[in-house]
Amino acid sequence: MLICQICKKKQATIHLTDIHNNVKKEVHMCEGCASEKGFSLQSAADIPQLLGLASKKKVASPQAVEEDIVCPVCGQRWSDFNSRGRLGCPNDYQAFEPRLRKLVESQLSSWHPGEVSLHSGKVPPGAPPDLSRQLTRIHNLERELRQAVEMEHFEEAARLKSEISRLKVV
Amino acid sequence: MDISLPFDPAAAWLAGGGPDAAIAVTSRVRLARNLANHNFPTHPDQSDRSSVLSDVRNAFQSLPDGDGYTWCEIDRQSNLERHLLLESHLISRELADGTGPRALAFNPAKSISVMVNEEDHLRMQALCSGLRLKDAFASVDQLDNAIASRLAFAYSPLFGYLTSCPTNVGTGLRASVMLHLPALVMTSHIEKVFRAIYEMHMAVRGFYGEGTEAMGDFYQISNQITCGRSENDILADMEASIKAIISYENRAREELLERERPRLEDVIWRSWGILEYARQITSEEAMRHLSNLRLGVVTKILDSLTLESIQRLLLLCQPAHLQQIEGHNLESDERDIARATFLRGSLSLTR
Repeated sequence: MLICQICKKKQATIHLTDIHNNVKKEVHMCEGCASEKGFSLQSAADIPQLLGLASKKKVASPQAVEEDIVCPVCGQRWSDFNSRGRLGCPNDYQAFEPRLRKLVESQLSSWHPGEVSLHSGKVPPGAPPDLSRQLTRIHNLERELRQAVEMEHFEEAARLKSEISRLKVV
Repeated sequence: MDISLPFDPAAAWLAGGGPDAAIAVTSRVRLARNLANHNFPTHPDQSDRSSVLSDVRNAFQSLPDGDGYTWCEIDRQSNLERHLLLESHLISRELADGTGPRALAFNPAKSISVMVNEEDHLRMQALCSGLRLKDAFASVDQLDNAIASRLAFAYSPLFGYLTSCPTNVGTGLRASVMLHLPALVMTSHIEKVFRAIYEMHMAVRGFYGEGTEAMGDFYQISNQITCGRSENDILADMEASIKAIISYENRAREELLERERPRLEDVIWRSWGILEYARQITSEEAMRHLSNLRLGVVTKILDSLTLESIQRLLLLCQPAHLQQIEGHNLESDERDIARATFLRGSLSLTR
């Protein structure tokens, strides 16, 4: 039996559910408390407000409301992006970095689980080199070098060694 | 450099040909790029659009003369002209029906086209016939390099090329292949193929790209994910999956020819009959029957037509092209009559 969340005594017979920003909230009340809050089955009460009242007392969840962020360059808000699905300017990627990173990573992980690098394609001229890719490349070359030494392929090993030291300078 | 439309619709890809041309009508690769330090075209404040447009225009004007790009300001074109460009696959519906300063640049063969101020500042695409994703990428990649040496693109080492919608971020590369799959439809295997396509993280789009409908058993298949892998890896994956779909369609065609030849011939010749005798026909019905004629040509049931002529008829019987042929605007029911007359005339010529 569910107990009324407001008086915490009587049986809850009225159950409200509100889904906002993918966060589901539920309130269970007895008839007495419901009518005291101005809710009856006929009158359409403001359910979120009612839930707001209840959440102050008990349901408060840590992830209930995501804080909004504004891009200092173009003025676009994270909430604008959420409703329109489009960003305002290139700087949004910096302003909303952790959230966009999570979003893009989730697209990627459904495709290639375990993929580390978000970008591993073409780079425009003059752009800073992608360090994470550079490190992965060095790591792979070092493994090849160990194998070459084990197999006594010394010419190959010498080539790999100079390639690694060239990359490390960059 | 500016054009005054109407222009000749002849584009290199219309000639057909290329690997697997019996099934793969066209291959297209597009790159999404944005200029650094400018709002995306989708920002509510539209004041950056004009300066982006003139920067891009200057970059195109400074390309070597031999490239011969034509520059066309879309907001100065009539509704009919914009739809001619849309039907020729040079621009998207979004650019055709959008608002504000926006433009198109295309090369003489109409194999490369660049939309300016669509969802991103630049959408550069290369289009060719047959299954030739790598060739398409090579030509658009070359243009990308030329423009990148003249304009600074928005890029971050973490995310790659920055785009207005994060679903394009990374390489900004969308590869699409237009496949003609009538035998998979006739043998009721198409749903199975669609499911496999989604599982391979590809999407099925309509005849004029995202948000448009499929017509006449033509389906546009494209990659969904643009980041995390290099351009060449994305294209190699796509090509392998597309080849698998092509082999299913080929198998279905062989099966129909072996076991149900009378049914196949009946479908094709009935379509011929309708196109040769109808007095009014909608664009959708015409495409359905032309699609059957295309199947007739590649299965050698019809020998008086070529793939190129079918491709041309498919383009010319679209509403805007039809009105251009007639020389004036036509209402929908007038178009249906004009389309039937045009198709009747074209088919009787081939007899």
